[in-house]
Amino acid sequence: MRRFLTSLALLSFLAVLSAPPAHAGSAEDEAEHVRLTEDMKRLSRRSAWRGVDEAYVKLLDLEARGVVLNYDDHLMGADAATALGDISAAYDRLERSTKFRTTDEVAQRIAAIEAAFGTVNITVEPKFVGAFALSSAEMPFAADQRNAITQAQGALTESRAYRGLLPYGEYAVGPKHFSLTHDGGPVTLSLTQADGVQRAKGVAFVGPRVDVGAAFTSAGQPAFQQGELQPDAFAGAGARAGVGLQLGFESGFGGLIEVGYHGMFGSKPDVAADPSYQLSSAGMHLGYGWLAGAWRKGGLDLALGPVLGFGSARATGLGGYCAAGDCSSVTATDGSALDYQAMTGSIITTGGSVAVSYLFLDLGRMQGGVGLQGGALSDGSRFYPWGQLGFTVAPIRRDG
Amino acid sequence: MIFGFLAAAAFTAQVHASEVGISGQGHASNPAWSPDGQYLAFEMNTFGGQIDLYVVKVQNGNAMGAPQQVKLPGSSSSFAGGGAIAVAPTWHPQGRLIFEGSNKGGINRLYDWAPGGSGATELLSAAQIAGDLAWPTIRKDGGAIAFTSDAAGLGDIYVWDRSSNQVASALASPFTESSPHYGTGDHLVYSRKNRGTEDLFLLDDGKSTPLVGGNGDQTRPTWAGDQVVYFSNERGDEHWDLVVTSGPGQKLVLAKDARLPDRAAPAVSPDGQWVAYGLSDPGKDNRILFTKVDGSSTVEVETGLVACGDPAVVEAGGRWYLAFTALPSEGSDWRRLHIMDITGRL
Repeated sequence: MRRFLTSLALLSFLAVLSAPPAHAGSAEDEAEHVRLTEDMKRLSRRSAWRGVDEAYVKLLDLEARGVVLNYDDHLMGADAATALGDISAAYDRLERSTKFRTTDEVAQRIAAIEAAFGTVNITVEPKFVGAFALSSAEMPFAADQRNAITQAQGALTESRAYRGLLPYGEYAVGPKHFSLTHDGGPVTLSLTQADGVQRAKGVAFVGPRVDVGAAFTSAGQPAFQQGELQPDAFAGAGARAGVGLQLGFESGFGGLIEVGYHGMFGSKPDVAADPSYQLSSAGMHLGYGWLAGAWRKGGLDLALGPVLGFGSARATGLGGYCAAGDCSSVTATDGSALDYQAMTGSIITTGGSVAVSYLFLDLGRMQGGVGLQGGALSDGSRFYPWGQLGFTVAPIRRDG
Repeated sequence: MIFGFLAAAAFTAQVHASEVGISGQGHASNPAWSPDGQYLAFEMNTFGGQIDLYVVKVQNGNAMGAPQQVKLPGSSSSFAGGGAIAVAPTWHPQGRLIFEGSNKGGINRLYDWAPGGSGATELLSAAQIAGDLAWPTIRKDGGAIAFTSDAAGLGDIYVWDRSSNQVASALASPFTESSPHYGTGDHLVYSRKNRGTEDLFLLDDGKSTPLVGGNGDQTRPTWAGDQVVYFSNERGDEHWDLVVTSGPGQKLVLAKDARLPDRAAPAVSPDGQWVAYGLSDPGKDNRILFTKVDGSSTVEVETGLVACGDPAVVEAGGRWYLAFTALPSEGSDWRRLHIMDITGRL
C-alpha cells in the first residue's frame, strides 16, 4: 500500500512536469509567434511601422489562441502604434507589457501619455453637410503628438468618427471648437444635421422655356392591321418649335411643360413620273404637348418625359403589305397604281422625348444655349422617331 | 621677461572640470547643450558597431544623477539585438532633442525625444520623406528643420515646415550635399562633395551660391554671427585647420591642427564671438582654446586632462559652461565627458 501511494505521488509529479503550461498555444502557433517576432524585428529596422503593427495584431490573434506574448512583443507593438500615431493603442500595449515587468522606460512612457493626451469621442452624423476636418490651433512639435493628430484626421475623414487620444490643445471639427485639457476630462463632440450647411429648399427658378431647331422625322413602315389602309413609309426634314414653362427646385430637380409645332416636309415619292397621276410631297404637321421632369446642374439641363402629338399627314403610295395584295378591301386592276395613291389623314401620337441642353448665354433672367433633342412617337400603326438640333432658352439659376 | 610671463598667465588658466559619471563603456563624444543649459546630450561609442545617445541633467555645472539613454523605437526590446546607432544630437528651442538614428542594418532616420517624454519617435514618416535622413539643423525660431536625404539619389537638402507638417525639397543637385546649418531666417550654409573634395555653399530662397572652396575639404560649416566657421584640411589630410569666412572667397585661419570632432561642427560661444576647439598636438592637447572669430585673441583653458576635444559652450543662469571630452591620462581606455564653469574666462 505504501509503495502504491509512493508510485501515485511519483506519477502525479511526473504528470505535472509533463503537462503543457496552462495557456500554451499549439506548436504551430508557437512557431508562428517566433516568425512574427522576427518579422517585427526586421520591419522595425526599416522603420516599416505599418508592417510591425500588422504583425503585432496577428500576435494578438495568437494570444487569443493560447500563445503567451511577452514584454518585448508588447513594447515593439507600442513603438509601432506610437510611430503610426495611434496613441490609444500604444498606451494599451505599454500597459500590457507591465504584466511581465515594469521598467523605468515603460513607466515614463505611460506617465508621459497620461500627462499629454486626453480622450475624445468625435462623431459626424451622416446627415451633416459641410467640411468636418479636424484642425489643431497649433500643430505640436512632438512627433508622437503630431502623429496622433494626423491619425485622427485620417480616421475622421475616412469613417466620420474618431474615438481615441489627442494631445491637449485647442481643436476645431468643422464649425465646432473644443478644448482638450488635463482637468477637463474626455471630450464628446457630435456634428449633427443642424450644425452643417443647411441645404436650400423650395423653388430655385421658374420661367418660360423655348426650344427651337431643325428636325428630321421619319415615319416608319406601318404594321399590318386588318381593314386599315396605311401609306408607305416616308421621312423628311422639318422644324420644331415649342414654348412652355420650366420650374426648378434647389435640389436641381424640376419639371417643364411645353407646347409647340412639329413639322416635316418630305420629298416626292421615288416612283417614275406618270402623266395619269399627280405626285405630291409627303408632309406632317403636328401640334404637341410635352410634360417632362428636368434636372439642372451648372449649365447642363436635362429633360425627359412623355409627348402627346396630334395633326395631319400626307403621303403617296400604300403600305407595302397592301401593295402585295394583303389588303382585302383594296382591288386594283393595275397593281402599280397603288404606288401613286395619294393619302391624307389625321394622326394622334404618343411617345417620349429627351432633351440635353447646355446653357451658357446670360440673357438677364434667362439663359440660352444649344440643345439636342430626340424622341419617338407612335400612332399605333407605326413609329415616328425624330431628332432635333437647335437652341434652348430657359430660366436662369443664379447659384447653379 | 617678466612681462612675457604675466601676459601668458593672463591668457591661460586651469579650471576645475567635473566629470559626468557614466557607467557604460565607450568613448564619450559630440556633447550638445540644451538651449537652457539644463541638459547635455552626448554619444557613447564603443567602436563596436553601436553608438548610444545619452542625456544628463545639469545643474550649476554638475551632472545630476545618471545619464539617461535615449533609445530608438524598436531597440528597447531584448530581441532588437543591439547594434543601434543614435547620433548627432541637436536641440530644438522648445527643449526637444532631434537626432539621427538607425537600428542594426536599418535605415537612418531622424528622431524626436524630450526629457520626461514618451520615448523617441520618428520625426518624419516614410510617407513624408523616404530614404536615409541625416544632418538635421533647426531654424532659430524652431519652425523648420533642414536635413539631407538620399531619397532622390545622392544627399539633397530638404526642409520640414512645422506649421504645415510638410517636407519640401530645398536643394536637389547631382552632388552630395551635407552638413546644412541655419543662420538667420532661412539662410543655410552647407557643404557639397564634388570630385573628391568638399566646398561650402550658401542657400537662400532656393538659390545656391558658392562660398569657399580650395584644396582638400572645407567642411562642417556653422555660423558665428554673420560669419561662417568651418574645418579645412587644405594643408593635408591630417591637418585640420579652423577657418572663418565673412563672404565668398574670403578666409581667415583661426587655428591650425585643431582636433576634428567625430561629427560636430566648430563650437561657437553663446555670444557668437568665440570659437572653441582642442588641438591635435599631444603637447598642447591638455586644454580647450577659445579664439575670437576676428582672430584678434586666443584664450586657453587648461583642464588637467589630455586629448581634450569636442567642446560645447552654453550660457545658463548668467554663467558660461564648457562641456568637452578628454582622457584622464595618456593610455586611458575611454574618453569621458567633463563640464567646466568658464564664466569670466573669456
